Amino acid sequence: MKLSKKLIGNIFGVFLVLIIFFFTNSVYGNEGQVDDETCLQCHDGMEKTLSFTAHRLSSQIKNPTAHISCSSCHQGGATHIEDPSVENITNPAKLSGYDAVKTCTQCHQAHIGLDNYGFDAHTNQQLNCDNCHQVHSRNKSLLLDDKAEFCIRCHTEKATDFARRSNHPVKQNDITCLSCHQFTKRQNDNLAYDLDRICQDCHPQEGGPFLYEHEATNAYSVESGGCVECHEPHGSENNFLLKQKDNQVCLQCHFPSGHYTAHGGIWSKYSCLSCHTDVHGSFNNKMFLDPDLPAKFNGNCYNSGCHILNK
Amino acid sequence: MKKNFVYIVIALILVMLTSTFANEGSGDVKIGYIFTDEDGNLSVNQESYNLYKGFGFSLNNFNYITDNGLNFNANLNNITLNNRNLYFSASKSGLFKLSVKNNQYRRFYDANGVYFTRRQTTGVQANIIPSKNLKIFGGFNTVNKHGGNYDILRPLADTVYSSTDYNHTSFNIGGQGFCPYGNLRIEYRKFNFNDNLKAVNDRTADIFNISAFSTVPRYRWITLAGGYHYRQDKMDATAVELTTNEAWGAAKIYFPHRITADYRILFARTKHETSLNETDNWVNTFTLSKTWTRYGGLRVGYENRYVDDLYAHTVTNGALFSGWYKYQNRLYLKGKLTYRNKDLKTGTTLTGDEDYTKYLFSATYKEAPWGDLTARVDSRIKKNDDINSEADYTSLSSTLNLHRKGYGRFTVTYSYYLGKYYNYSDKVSYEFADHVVTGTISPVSYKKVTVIFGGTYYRSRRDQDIEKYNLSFTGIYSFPYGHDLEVKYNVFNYDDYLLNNNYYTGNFVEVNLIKHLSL
Repeated sequence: MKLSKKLIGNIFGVFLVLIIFFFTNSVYGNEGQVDDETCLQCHDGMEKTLSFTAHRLSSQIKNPTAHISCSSCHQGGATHIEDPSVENITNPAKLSGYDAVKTCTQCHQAHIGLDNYGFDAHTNQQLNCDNCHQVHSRNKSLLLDDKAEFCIRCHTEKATDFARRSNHPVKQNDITCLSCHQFTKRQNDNLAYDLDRICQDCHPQEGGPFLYEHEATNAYSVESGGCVECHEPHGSENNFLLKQKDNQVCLQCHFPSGHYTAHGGIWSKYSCLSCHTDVHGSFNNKMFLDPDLPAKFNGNCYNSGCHILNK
Repeated sequence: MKKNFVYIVIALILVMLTSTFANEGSGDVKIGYIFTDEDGNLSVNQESYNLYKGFGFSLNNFNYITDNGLNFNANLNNITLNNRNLYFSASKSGLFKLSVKNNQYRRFYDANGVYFTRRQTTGVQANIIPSKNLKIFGGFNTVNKHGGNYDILRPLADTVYSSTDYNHTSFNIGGQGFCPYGNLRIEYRKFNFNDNLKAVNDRTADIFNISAFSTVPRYRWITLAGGYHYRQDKMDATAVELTTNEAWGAAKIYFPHRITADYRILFARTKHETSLNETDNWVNTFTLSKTWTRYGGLRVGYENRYVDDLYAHTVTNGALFSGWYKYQNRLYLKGKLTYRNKDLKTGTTLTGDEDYTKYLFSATYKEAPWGDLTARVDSRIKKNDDINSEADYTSLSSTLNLHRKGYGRFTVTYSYYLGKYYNYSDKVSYEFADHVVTGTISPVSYKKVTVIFGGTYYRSRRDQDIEKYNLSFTGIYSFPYGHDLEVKYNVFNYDDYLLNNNYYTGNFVEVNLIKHLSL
């Protein structure tokens, strides 16, 4: 049975409405050991730093669907009441590595494991949620600083990468680092095996499959590399984020000596892409030649019978 | 698609009716005009591609929360202009989140701005949490790109312009289950690519993903993970198909004394159904690390990749070393070295054997009340012995952040990029050396006046000779009752000293009246 788009749309809509209504009473989270009022007697005003966020205290909400209290994150409240010292209550922001992450992932379970924490490059340096997020803030996504492109705080050289002549529009606020570096999609920080698929999300026309594949564009192939074999993804001095200028990109792997000698070297002054237009892959020609090539060059090469286009 | 929006709106209204709006909210309404003055080749300066003149209206940083915890967020930037960037979300902690986005981006391809493409993106994502142990998510995204672009045909004098018009739609639905030990995630995703000019390019992709993560009961110091990924790309007009089956697994063991070991394995088989070329990938990675909580850590690893297709078979062996050290939360040192050697075992490839070395070193010094200083060097060297070529790339970068309470903030980054390519046999070479400086100064507000200065300078030398800069100034005067007058001035300049017609100057002035909402 083939589902029509209309039917899928209707199912999706009805499903959404029903779910929201039938489960409005679902409640989860971590009930606190000490009630919020007790905490706020001394820490007056702290509830306001959470009120515009998903961490708004449940005690401040009618019909809460998640239990969020001060002691959901700050453990040891009972002892702290007896002896109000900073030593006897946990502050996740001051913990390091996995100890801090354990607090957040009580609720943000999707971020534990391979999705993010556990095998991520940040983990290896004992970085944790708190290195990027500040819970008691009103910043977007609770980032420490939402004024700048966030990742540049640590990856400082990227500030200039995106200022080079050809660049992905991060400084223009059209995309963000997370548009490409999606934590939830990769399971291995050392390998770029699936890198092409990330590029294809926005550049599908280059993605294939093609009848005649250009192996350099496929990260899975023996030639490997994929898109980054020719392109510099953050910023480059060349058009289209290319690593090398003009023909030099092709000359990394190919040295077409015939082009430099035949007909007095007439083709040596042309761009490779003048004829090999379908460099990402072709349906017409294993040399990735433009199917309109005879017309483009007035048929001299092909109509004369000297060269055959589809070979 | 319109029907989906209707359902979403109905759902939101119904939810809102159940709540009492005795509530809190804030945000900024911005109304203003953008003046532009451009001269030269519009296609050379990428930063000004998507800037438009005209009347602008925005609602920024809008946040409204009802007393039953329903949270609305909106960032609706330049609603009235063609560079609009809109985001809206409604959520309730522990129950659901719905977000909608729409934006568009223009890119010029000729000097006069006649040939340009516009990419429009619209997406909806929703997740529902019916219980503590389950999250259901889904959504769709559509990208339309259309307009005129060009093909690179230098040195043919006549640049050939062509047209682009496609829709790329994706749809996904899935669920994630949680238990005290881990989680399980299942997702189905479908892509549709429709080329409105060349039907031969139309294609679809079906993707299925399943992944799981768990600690081992009674042995919580061992974590296991694994997954399976299936993808089939199919061309509609031809019989071309590409099918990938990928399975992976991982284990991480936390030993005493903060020693960890992790191992990952991946197998993928990609089959080109038409050429019947089947490519197998086997990847094994093993790393061992030791962490000293207050000082740093060391990590060493080994990686092996085996790739086999109809024509050739390669084996890559790699080694990874990394270390980091911190001293009293002031000095941070970080280093990483990766080495890979790709060896062609049978058959032939264009590039043959390959050596790849990458290293990175960075040092940061932080002085709490003042700021920090970072220096970094990043290099990669690729050698292909069979074609006798070498490509080197190095970047040196330093950043200074100064911030002082009562004075403001100053940030500047300078980077030097050096790239070389040599083919020793054929005596072909290419070199570039780029200098880039970018920085901002934002002093604290003085008597209701706030100013921010920024600038970027770029110079590319050797095989090309390009200079460009951008200066920006923002001034804000705050009136009583939450009103601001904002003036922004941006100037861009671009010069190509080798190609005469590649120059550009653009002046952009934006005057806005901002009202801070407090609901």
